[in-house]
Amino acid sequence: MNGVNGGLRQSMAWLHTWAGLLVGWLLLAIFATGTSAYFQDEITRWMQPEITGQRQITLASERALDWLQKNQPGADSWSITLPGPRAIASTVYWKPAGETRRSLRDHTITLDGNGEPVVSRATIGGFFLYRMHFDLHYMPVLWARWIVGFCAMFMLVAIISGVITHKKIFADFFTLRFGKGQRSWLDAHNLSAVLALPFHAMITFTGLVTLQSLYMPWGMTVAYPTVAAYSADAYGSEAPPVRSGNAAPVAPIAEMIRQARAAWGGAEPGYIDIAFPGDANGIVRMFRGGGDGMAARAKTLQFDAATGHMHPVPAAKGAASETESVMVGLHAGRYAPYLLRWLYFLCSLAGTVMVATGLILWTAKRRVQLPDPERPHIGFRLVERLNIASVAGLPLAFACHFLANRLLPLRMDGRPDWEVHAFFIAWGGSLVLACLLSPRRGWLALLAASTAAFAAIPVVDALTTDRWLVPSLLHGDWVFAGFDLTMIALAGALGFATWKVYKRPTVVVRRKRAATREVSA
Amino acid sequence: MILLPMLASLLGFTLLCLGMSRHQRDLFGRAMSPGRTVAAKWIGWTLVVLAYGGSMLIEGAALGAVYGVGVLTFGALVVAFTVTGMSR
Repeated sequence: MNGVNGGLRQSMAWLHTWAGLLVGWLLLAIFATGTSAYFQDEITRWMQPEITGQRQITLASERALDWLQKNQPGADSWSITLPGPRAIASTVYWKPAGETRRSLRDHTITLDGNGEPVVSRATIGGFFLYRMHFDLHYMPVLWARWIVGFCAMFMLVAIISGVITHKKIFADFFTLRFGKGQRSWLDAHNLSAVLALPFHAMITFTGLVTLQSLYMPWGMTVAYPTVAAYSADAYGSEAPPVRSGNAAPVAPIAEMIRQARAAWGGAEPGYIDIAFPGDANGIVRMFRGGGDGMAARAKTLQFDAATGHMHPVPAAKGAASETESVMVGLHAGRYAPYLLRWLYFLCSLAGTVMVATGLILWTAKRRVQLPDPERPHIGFRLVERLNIASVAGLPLAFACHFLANRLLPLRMDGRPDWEVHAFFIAWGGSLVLACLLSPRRGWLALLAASTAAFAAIPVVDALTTDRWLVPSLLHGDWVFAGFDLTMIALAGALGFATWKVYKRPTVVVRRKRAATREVSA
Repeated sequence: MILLPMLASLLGFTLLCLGMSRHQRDLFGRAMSPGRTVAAKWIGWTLVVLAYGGSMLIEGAALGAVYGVGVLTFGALVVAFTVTGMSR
C-alpha cells in the first residue's frame, strides 16, 4: 500500500488511486452532466413541448424587435438569443432604463419558431445540466469553478498516472471478462479508459483551458492594466456607447444580419444585443453562433443601430487566442454535426463509466484484504456508501429532474428552481438511503429506483403531452422520439445492472459466517 | 461517406483482435497459424490507419482529425464488446 518508496509504477499506482478517489464522486457528476450537455438543445426542446415550428433566424429577430419596440421602448438594452441549428426557440431579454443589474427571469420572453411569443411551461431546460457541469449549484460560481478546476487537474493527474500504471495496455486492449469480481471491474475501468483515451485527455485538458483566465490570470494582469482592456483587445469589444437623447428608430435588422452573414462567410448570428435601442447613439452587436466552425469564442460585429452601418470588421485574432478558441470549441462540441455529436456522447459516456468503475474498483480491491469483511473500517464504509449514492443515485437524480419537468404544476411559482431541486432531493435522498441500508440493499434499491424512474419518463410523457414516443415516431420528430428512446435505453442498462447485482451471490461474506457458525457449534 | 472509415475501423480492430493469441483461444478454442496471425495484424493496422486518414480526406483535416478519433474509439469499443459477448 505504501508504494511511494517503490518503483515508478507503484508510486504512480498510489497517485492514481488516491487522486482518483479524492475527486471521484464529484468528477462523476461533472462527467455525467457534461455528457448530457452535448444534447443540451435537444433536452431544452423536450422540456418545452409547447414550442413548435421551424427556426427562422431573420424572422425571429424581426419579430423580437417588433415586440420589444411595442412593449419595452425605453429599455437600456435589448438582447435576443437566437436558436442554434438544433434549437427552435429564441429568448428575448431587456434591461429596463436605469437598472444596474438585470434579473433575467423577470425581463424575458420566449419566441417560438415563427417568432411569436409563446406561453410555455417555465423550465430550466438543458441549461441546468450544462451549468452544473462547471458551475455546480447552490454555491457562488467562483467557488464552483475553482472546485471543478481542482477536480479536472486531478483528473489530468489520474489520466497520466493511470497510463503509466497500466501494465498491459495493448495485451488487454479488447479484454473484458465478466463474473470475475475485482478483475472484471479492472477490465471495465481499463477498457473505458484506454479505448477513449484520446478523448479523455483532450476533454480534461481543454476543460481546464476553458477557464484558464480564471486559474492562471497572471499573463493577462501583467500585459493589461484592467480586465476591460484585456477583453477589448482579446474579443474586440468596443467602449459602451453613451445615450444621446435624440430618438432614432432601429434600422432594419434583416439587412444587418445579411451583412454579418457575408462578413462571416455564411455563418449565422447566435446572439444580438442592442445598447440604447431607439437612441441615435444606439449600437447593435452581433455575435456569431456556435454552429459554424470549431472555434468557440464568438466573432463579433458592431453596427450603428440608427443607420445599420457596419463598423470595421475587427482584425483577425492572434495565433494563441485562436488556439484557445479552438480548444474551447473542441471541448464544447457546438460545431459537431449529429453523427460526430453521438461519437462525442459515446466517448463521454465511456468517461463516466471509467470514473464509476474506478470508484467501485477501490472497494472491490480492498474488500478482499479486509481483516473482517463483516465489519469494515470506517473509511471503507464511507467510500462504499458514497459510491452507492453517486453511482446508483446520480441516474435517479437525472430521471427525477426530467420527471419534474412533466409532473410539476404548470403554473407553479419558481417552477424552474423546483426542477433543479428535484435533482438534488433525489440525489441527497440516495445518500441517506445508501447510509441506512446495507450496501447490497442500497445498490439494489437505488439501481431499481433509477431503472423505474427512467422507464417512467416515456410513460409520463405519454400521459402529460401529445408529443410522446409513438406520435413523434410517426411524425419523424427525432428530437422527441430520440429523447424517449434514450430514456428507454438508459432504463434498460440500469435494469441490466440491477439484475446483475440481484443475481450476484454474496458468497464471500456468507461462507465465512457459516464457517464461524460451524466452528462455534 | 464517413461510414466508410467507420467500416474500416470496425474491420481493422476485428483483425487486430484476431491477431492476438488470447482472443484466438477464446473465440476458436485454438491458436491460428502464425502466417494468418501476422496477416491479420498487418491488414488490421493498415485498416486502422486508413480509417483515420480516410476521415481526414472526407471531412477535411480539421474536422476529420476529430471524426477519426471518434471513429476509432467507436470501432474498438464495438469489437471489445462483441468479443466479450462471443467468448462467453
